[in-house]
Amino acid sequence: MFLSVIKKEAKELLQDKGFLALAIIEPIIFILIFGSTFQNSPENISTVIVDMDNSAFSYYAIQGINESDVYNVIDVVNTPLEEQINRANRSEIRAVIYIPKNFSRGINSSETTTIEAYFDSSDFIIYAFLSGAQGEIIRNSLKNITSDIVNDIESEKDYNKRKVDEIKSIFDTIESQISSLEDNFNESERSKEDYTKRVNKTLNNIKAGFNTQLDFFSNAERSISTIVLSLQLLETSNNTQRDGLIGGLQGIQSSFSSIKVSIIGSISELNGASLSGNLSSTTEIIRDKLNTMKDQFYNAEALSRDVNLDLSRLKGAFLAEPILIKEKAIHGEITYFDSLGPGILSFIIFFIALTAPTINIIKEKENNTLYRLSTTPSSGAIIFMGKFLIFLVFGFIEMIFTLFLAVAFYNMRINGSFFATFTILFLVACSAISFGLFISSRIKTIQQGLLVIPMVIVPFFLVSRTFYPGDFLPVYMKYVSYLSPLTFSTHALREVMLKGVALTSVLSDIAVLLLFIFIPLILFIISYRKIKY
Amino acid sequence: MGEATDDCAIVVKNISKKFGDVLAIDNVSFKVRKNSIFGLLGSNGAGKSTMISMLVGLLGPSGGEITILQNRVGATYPAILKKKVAIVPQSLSLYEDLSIYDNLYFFGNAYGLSSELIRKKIRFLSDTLRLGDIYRKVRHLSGGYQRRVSLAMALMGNPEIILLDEALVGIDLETREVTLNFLNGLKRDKTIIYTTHALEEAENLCDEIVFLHHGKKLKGGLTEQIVEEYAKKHPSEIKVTLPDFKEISKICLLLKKKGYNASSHQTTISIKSLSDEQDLSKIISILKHVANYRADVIDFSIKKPGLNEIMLDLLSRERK
Repeated sequence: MFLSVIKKEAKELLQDKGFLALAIIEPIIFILIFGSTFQNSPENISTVIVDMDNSAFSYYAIQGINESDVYNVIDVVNTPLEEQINRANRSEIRAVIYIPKNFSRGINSSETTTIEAYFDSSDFIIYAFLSGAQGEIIRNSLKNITSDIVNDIESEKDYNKRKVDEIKSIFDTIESQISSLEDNFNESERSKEDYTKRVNKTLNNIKAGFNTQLDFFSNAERSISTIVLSLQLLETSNNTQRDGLIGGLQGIQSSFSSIKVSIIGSISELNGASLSGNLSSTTEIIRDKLNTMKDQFYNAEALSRDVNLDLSRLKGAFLAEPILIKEKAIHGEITYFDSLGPGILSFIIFFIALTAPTINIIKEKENNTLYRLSTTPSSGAIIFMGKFLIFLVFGFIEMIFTLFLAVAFYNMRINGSFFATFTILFLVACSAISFGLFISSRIKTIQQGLLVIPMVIVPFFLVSRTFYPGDFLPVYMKYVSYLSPLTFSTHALREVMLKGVALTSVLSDIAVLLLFIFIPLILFIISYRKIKY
Repeated sequence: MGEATDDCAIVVKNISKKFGDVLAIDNVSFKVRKNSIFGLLGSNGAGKSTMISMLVGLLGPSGGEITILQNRVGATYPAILKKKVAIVPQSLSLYEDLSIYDNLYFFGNAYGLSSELIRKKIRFLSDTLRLGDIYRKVRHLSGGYQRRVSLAMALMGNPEIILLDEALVGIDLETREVTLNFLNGLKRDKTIIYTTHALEEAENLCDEIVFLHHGKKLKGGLTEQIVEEYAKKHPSEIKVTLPDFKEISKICLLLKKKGYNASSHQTTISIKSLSDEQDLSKIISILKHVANYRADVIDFSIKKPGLNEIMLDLLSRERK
């Protein structure tokens, strides 16, 4: 018997070709819709920046926001904040980031400066992502600002390092030139003319070396001054470390000044030297000065090594706190429940209002009562108008009941008017009944109906942006979502229930919902004429 | 087939109906007189329900003409006929979760009757068709009662023509008796088209018949006339059953000698006769003559050829 039951059921299932076709098509549709809808990770949320500071630092902050994957900066303006908040209210944008006028002044004066972030809180997921990414704004902004400052220091540091090596070689050159001068002096008796030429050449070479050194040390002094200034700008969590660094750099600077004095003295000695004069003593003096300079230089080099310019540590200290983001939820703090509410309400009403007429008419078809009724003088239009109306009343009662349960037991947020909420849900019910009538005209058995109903409702719900904001949908899925009346009802209900707008603000949604009532109804009237009993 | 006349409720002329490549009705013609019961007979798949669907306007003919109460039926079904033609479908077609009263009331409304008239009609039909407690849900009624409710629903609009599509299939004896009596009574002012494959029932009920087979008309005309014509060519069967078979062979032999087509089986003698009434007295006198069995005859019957035999004969000829 057990096998017989299996055999009989299998045969029965295989007999209903419509059922089998639906059973194959349905999972394909569900998975396609599901996979296509929930595919993209949340990013590129449309954002407008109101930059009232218009400074280099605010530019770095804008760059920082732009670098985030979450924010898609579609506009940077310096118009009043209100204008942009209104755009967010109209769902044209999801976030407004306001950089106040005193932004750069705050950074320069080492005070914590504030960026204001206004996020659309009517969609919980969007809000959560925007809110979660605000740390990224701070990090990126500060990274850009510190990079600007610290990169200068780093390039100066590299430059100086190269120059130190050059100066070492110049010292060596000068030293060899002095030795050469001394050698030439000893040979003076052998060829006076040749001697004069060589001594003058050597003296010029030594002077040129000293002048090069003089240029370097002047440059090095300026370079260190720049670093010191940059470091003074950095307001870090550990200023002692920064101040120590500045002190070290100033020590190097002072050594370089002393070297410069020695170089100038040496050049003056060389200028006074002549072949007929006391060249030997001049050479001695220069050699002494050169040795002093070398000592001073090596001391300065050692000092610079001690300074240990650890910029990465400095950066870390700087990134700790100077910018603060003040977050503001445009529509107040909305819970996930509140955010889902409009979509879920739409779904419940649509589901009930669609199922009731569909099953009713398929049942009438199966029982042949519709066939019999069609032989009476009553017109089909009257019969279905009657059905439409009673299911509308049924849908309306269900709507009130559902809304009552949601508000009474779970305190579902309705910021706008109840009338507007009712009106939208009522249109959802009308649309569902129209769809129900149309579906029932194409279906022969309850079994098929039980597969077709979810095949309509589930994709409608998945693409309705209830769980997943439209901002994250792939472009083609955005168009697909427009085929669902729940997309428009959910949007309109969010506007009314969460943003508290009036019905007049969602007229476009209402117009589309009306289309979703009349199109299936017209299709139903066309297919009703072709119903085969 | 002549044109529609005043005494014709329905005239079907050269009607065909195709479903794709399948010819469901093939050039069928017949007339239905007013105030008569017309039998649309045939086995399953003969095309009876298709013909009914065309007569109520649910299907349009592929070819030919249908005239109902002087109204031509073509691609569109005249609205006036919806008031004048009612159907009792093969399936029950009732709202099972509603009461008898609600079902009848709803269909009264569907026929556009006033509330008062509806109530009056419900009372009348409830009495006539013995519907009992009309506030019972249809779901809780027996099959026979449900059939009666189905018939009552068709009668709510006071139609001139009633189409009964296998409407008495599987009903109990009481319902059958009630319904048949009721239909016979209705004949006074209504035309009834009755489709069935229960031919004995049709023979008793129908004034005229048409035999359909695979969409074709095999035969049609007045029932009585068809049966009589057939009977002239086909013998009745007289059967006599006696208490024992001692004398059976003797009687059988005697009958054969007298020229009768007689045979015996156990205690029963069968005699085929073209003129049963004339032959009956002769057979009785033979019985008396052979033995005094008159008082002891257990069973005596004359079976005349009826629509069943006619149908079988037509089918066998069709097959040939």
